[in-house]
Amino acid sequence: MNMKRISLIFVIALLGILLTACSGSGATNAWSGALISGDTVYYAGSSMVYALKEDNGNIIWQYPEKASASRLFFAEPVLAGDQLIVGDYGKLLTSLKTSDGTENWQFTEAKSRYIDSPLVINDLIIAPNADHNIYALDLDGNEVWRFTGGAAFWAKPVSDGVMVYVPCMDHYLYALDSATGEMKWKTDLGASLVARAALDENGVLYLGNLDGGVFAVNAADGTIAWQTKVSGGVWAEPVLHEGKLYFGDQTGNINILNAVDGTQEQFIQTDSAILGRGGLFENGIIFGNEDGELIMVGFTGAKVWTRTLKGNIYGNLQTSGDRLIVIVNNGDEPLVAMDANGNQNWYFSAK
Amino acid sequence: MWETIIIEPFINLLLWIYNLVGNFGIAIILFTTLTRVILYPLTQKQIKSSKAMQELQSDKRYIEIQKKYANDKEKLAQEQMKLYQELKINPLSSCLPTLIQFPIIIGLYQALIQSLASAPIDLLNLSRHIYPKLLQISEILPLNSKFLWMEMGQPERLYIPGTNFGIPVLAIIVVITTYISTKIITPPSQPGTNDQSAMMTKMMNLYMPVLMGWLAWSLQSGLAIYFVTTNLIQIAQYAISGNVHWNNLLFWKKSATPVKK
Repeated sequence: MNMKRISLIFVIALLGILLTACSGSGATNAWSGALISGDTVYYAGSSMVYALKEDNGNIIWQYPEKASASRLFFAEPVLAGDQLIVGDYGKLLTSLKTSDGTENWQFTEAKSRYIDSPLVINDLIIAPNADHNIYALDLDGNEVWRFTGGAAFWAKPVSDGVMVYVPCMDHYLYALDSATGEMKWKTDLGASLVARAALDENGVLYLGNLDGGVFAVNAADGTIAWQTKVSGGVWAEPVLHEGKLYFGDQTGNINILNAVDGTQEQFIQTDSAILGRGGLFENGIIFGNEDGELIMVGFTGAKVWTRTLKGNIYGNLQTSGDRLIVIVNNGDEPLVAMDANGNQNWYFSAK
Repeated sequence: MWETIIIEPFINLLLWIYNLVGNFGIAIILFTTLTRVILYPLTQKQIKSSKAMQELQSDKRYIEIQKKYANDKEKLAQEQMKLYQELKINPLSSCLPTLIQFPIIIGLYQALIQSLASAPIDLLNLSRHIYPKLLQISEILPLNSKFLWMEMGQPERLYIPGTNFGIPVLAIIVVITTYISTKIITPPSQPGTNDQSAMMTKMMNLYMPVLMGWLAWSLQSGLAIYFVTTNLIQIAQYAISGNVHWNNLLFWKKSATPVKK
């Protein structure tokens, strides 16, 4: 084989690699999730799932043994007893032993990605998938029921213990019987739903859509109690605190709404999109934005402090006690552990 | 700037068509057809220039120059240039239209990928590219990305009922149409002249279908639809301009272009 032929093969192969790289099928088109449980932080860090020590970020275990480009973990892991349930972009839902990260079982029936986490209630794992299905599994990974919606499910369901409420990209919020998967009602909320819903003790669901519509929906029958509009698309559920809803939107506003009637009590402008759920502390709620800013808003609506991290903050902020876990995209420190005053304690990087 | 000038208009045009027809697969076919029709004057110019260059290679004077100055590259270039001037041929005019089309084709490709938005950051970017006066996010999303048996955001496989084995039908069609489209637009090689160039063309004709097939196998099926549509339109455009060499598909039949005097 002469040099010209080798060069030609090389150029064609390079072109193929370039086009594949341009396709966006790589690792950076989503944001990771984490979960704090006791003295452990579980982190779905793209190619690996890690169990980290909560006080210093040291690795306890990691899964899988070898990273794979087709199995990317972004959804927040969830606990089901001593199992850690993780969904991936390779269509697999996997149960791991929390003690050492070894596999218990794998559910392989889904046809697409797990964008958000499953919900665990009454010994059932209810997992939304982008293949238009919600899968309900028992704790051994056997399918109990499945429900098919009109489009992809990108949001973790919420439940009152009997019913499961699932937002869908097809604009509908579905209410399903958690035991059978039978649909009790569905309500059209006008645009695609990628945000989870928040459910209060009075049986009212609060959620927003990608067009900036915000709704309070009666969980009993799916009727809309009130609706309003904010300036940008809503990607995460509101944080409920003392009758108020706190949530960010795609224009970078932190919105504070009265939960009773949806009137806007206040909004605080930041410079870039807020897509993740705020982290609740005793003295306020922290939001992160695309510019890497962390903003703590007090319950009076005043800014308490701001910090800036290098990178983009898209994901939900996780809090537990005095601990704040922030996931950062495109930065050198992908997982940052802070305290409630915004002081950085440690960071974790797979590098 | 690249996003604003090329990708955003393409995304909005593609989604505007989608909004009219309600199916993303059909929208990709119409969008690809429309852009190829708009680019047709450039393609036609390229076809004409290629034809002129091809005719030149069978010109007696050209062949003589090649033989005479085979060991003097500088002199060969000077004599070739003289001949180009005499025959009023611009050797660059066959690649210039391709060069102009290249950023447009890349933009088209990126617009397709971004519109498929199968992950959160892709969707975020898509929502930012939409012109709010032209399109409403509540009307566009969710995209109806099912087309025939395919999910446009996923690599295509046709599963045989009762088995887990998926046949990459679209990738096979991409390989076949790419092979046909590259083969029939390639002028028949002339025995004895420019063997290296003929060999390179032959290799390209073999490797390109494999590369395109591999891309169609591994990437979103929406892109494979784009590849197939592009190939079919290319065949049609060359056929319209009368520059199709169907005999090239008959691998047992070798033809030679006569030398012009």
